[in-house]
Amino acid sequence: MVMKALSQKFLPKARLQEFKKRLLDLGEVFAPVQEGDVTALRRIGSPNEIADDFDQTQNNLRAIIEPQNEIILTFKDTLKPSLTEQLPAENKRIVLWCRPCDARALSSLDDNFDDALLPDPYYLRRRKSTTIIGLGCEKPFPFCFCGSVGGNPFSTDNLDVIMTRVRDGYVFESLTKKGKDLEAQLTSLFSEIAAEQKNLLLEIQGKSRTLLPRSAPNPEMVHANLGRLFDSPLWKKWGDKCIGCGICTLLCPTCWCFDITDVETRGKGFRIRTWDSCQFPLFTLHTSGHNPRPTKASRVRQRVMHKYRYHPVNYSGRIACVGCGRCTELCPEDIDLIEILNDIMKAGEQQ
Amino acid sequence: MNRNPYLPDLATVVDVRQETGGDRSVRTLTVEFDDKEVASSFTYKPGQLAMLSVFGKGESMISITSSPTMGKALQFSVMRMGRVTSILHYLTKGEKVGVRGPYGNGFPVGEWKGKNLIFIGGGIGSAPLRSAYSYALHNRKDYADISIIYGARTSSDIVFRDELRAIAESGGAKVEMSIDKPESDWDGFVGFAAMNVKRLAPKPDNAIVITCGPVMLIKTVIKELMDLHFKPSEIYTTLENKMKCGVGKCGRCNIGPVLVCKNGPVFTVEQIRQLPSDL
Amino acid sequence: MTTTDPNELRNAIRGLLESKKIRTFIGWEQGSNAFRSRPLFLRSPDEVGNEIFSPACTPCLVRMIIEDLRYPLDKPDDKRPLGIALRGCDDKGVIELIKDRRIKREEVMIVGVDCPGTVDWTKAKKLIKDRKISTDDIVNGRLIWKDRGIAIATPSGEISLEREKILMSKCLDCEGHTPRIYDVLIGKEDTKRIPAEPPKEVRELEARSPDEKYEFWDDVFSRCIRCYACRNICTYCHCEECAVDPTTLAIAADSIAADKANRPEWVGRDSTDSSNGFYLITRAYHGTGRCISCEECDRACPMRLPLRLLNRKVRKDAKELFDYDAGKSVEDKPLLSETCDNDPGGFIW
Repeated sequence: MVMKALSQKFLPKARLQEFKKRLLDLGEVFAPVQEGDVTALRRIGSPNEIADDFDQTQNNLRAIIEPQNEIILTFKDTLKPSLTEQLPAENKRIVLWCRPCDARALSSLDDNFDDALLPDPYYLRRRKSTTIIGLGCEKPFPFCFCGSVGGNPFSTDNLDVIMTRVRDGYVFESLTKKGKDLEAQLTSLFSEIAAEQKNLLLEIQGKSRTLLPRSAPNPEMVHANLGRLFDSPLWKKWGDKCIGCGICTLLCPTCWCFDITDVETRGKGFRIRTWDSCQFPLFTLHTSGHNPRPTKASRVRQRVMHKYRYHPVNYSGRIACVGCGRCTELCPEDIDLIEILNDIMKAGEQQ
Repeated sequence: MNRNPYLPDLATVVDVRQETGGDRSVRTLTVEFDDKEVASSFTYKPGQLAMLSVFGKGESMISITSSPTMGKALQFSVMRMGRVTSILHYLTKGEKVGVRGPYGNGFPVGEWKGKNLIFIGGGIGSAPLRSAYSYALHNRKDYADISIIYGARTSSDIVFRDELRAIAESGGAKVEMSIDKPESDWDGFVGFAAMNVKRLAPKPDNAIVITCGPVMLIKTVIKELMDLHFKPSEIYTTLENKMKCGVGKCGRCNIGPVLVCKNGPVFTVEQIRQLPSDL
Repeated sequence: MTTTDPNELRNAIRGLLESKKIRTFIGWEQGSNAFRSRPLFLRSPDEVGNEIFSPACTPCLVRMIIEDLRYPLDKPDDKRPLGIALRGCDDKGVIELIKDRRIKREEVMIVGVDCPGTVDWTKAKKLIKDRKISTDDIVNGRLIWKDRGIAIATPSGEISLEREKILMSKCLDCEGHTPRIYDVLIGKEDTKRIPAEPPKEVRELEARSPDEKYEFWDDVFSRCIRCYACRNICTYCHCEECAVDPTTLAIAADSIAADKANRPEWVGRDSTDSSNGFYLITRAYHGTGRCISCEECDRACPMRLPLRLLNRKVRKDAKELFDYDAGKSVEDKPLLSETCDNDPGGFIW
């Protein structure tokens, strides 16, 4: 949803470089960095590393809040072990220019990691210490469909600040207390926002939704249909095309699955949490050799069911898809999530 | 239990007992927490599980086969399957493991008060069953008739054999054991566990069935129970799945919307029928 | 321009399906927008209308033969061949699979097509921005070959796209438009064969100092996310259990505990520079003499790592050290599985 800002300021283009420098003084900064043909969200050391012009980063907030490699404990002397917990440092982290869909996706990760009974301290430390500055999407990208899943190119969910590029600079809107605190620390950089900039902002926000290039079927109806389609042939249709690489899940902003393995050399080592994917054959393979999801069809089904059926069943109807389009765009065999959802609607009607 | 759910507590192996031999042998480890406070605050329900760590090799989710009525030590019956369980089989008294838990929903032993309990198991399935029937036998007055029907492939595959004999002799429960093929000094029933169930024809009135074991055994037993008019909501079993975190976060043990480590492993047949079939 | 008429192609496929000579035909269907396509599995003649052949037909279909080996497309007792559409660059992949004894020639029914080049989505994205191509044209347009280039056919006319700015880099160095092995060819045979040349990027990289090379590749390795897409889409990576991958394990219900316990783990699950480097370099080495430069690994990589440089390099080494051409003939023995007296090997003897 698009929340009303607590305050609106204007950052002139001429002060952009200074703005970036000041962020680096305030904490660890993660920003979009151009790496050849793609942009990636990386920790930066200097303002010049930041890409001002980018569509979407290949990776997303998960890389920062649930990193791909995380040592959770270390041990010495495996025979008489002594363990040392390795919680992340509670340093202040700032993410610059996160797309609204990626921020919205954090709600699904929070559902999983921030539960009352067994909260995940690694995730929560990073989550609580991170301030997220979003960048609104004035012109969505070829695979975007956030509007179909309850999102918006200017959604403010889970953002502390949202910035929008306008003529001559950026509008800077604080949305939460964290955002306001950040604004206060940078206050000398901002000018008051003029009425014409406010109007331009409204115009950009309004127009952006109409520019979404793709639309997907109603997710609640997909959810309802999925309850009847476990044995549908549509899963094999798409599973046959799949090569099981896992890109759809590794770069999905609402995915979080991980593996825990021990690494040891001469009696000492560590236990590490690493990203895993339900698309890998080994994910559910029992040591006995039995695999409850032995086919690509069953794994494609698991991915779609998890996002549109199981997660909403467990978490008050929240669909675990934000319409970022990465799974489709980055799939080497162009497996199109929207086509799968269309097939689900067709199959659901026939039942 | 630590506040960090991924951090195990250290425990020492105080006893080992080889239950069966062969390639997939079963060994029971008795462990005690090193830290006295952890030991006294660790409480669990029958049917719950714990993650056993072999540092450097990994973790394995094993059901706690002891009952909380048996004292502070925890018992785990481990079947030798792969990397971690093989090391668990080499451990001797005095060696260390990591333990974190208890996890899972456990058996609703409170809800079963006053009922006839029928435990049907086979192979390593007796591990979670033992936790439950030991609890029931310890609280004998709370339950009506208790019977234990146990089937193994051969007589040397019977886990907790001496214990079961002692239970039969004490009269606390009726014990019926069976093996698949005839053996020279076996005078009990010969045949699959499901056939034994058919022969014994337990009555569904005021009864709860708890069945654990290999998938084939459970399937055939449930079929016999259905024929005997047991209700699906009265038959309990445990499901298995590959588990890594044990705390409902890594995402891999799900069957449909249900996580076996968190919402299970104990389910009624009625609940299982509502789950999708990627078991 | 192509000499393959898509309608003729569809008729040929229809014929094969009607005569029940094949169990499934692997072709292409239009994908999520004008520039993209995906594999299509045809089993009945009335589905053939979805089959396309256009510059959007970028995915190399040979991979689907490997997928069928592990995850059968059809019932196991259906012994009929698989039909497949192959372009000039693809046939070498089939030849390698035959050499590796994964398939027999008679298990595939090859329909050859004349392919002048297919599009690279990454390049297309840039072009879309630079030329301000409308969303409607991106979604609803259809790509056609035109003269030496590509165009987007739209209701309001054609938009020409510059060849160098849209085609896959391998297509700019095409070795031949049509396959050399086929059962039926739709279109005219391309008789000129241009021998593979390592791209100048490989030579430039070879000329750098070891420190410079280390810096270059360490940067590449640090960006890898170990999705294994490069391996999963590869036409030579067909091992049941990959040595450098802890996400596939060939264990069965009867594998004994000791086997599972003692299985060597060559590389861990972490995606750090050194683990990623180990994975990528080992995979490239295993491809020596087998890599046909389909460049699918490069295309599949979501981080756009320059993987084609690794594979082009081993292909160049196979040629220069052993005078070996991957995918040339089914009579050739696989390079890495035999030694000859005149093999260079100063460090061994």
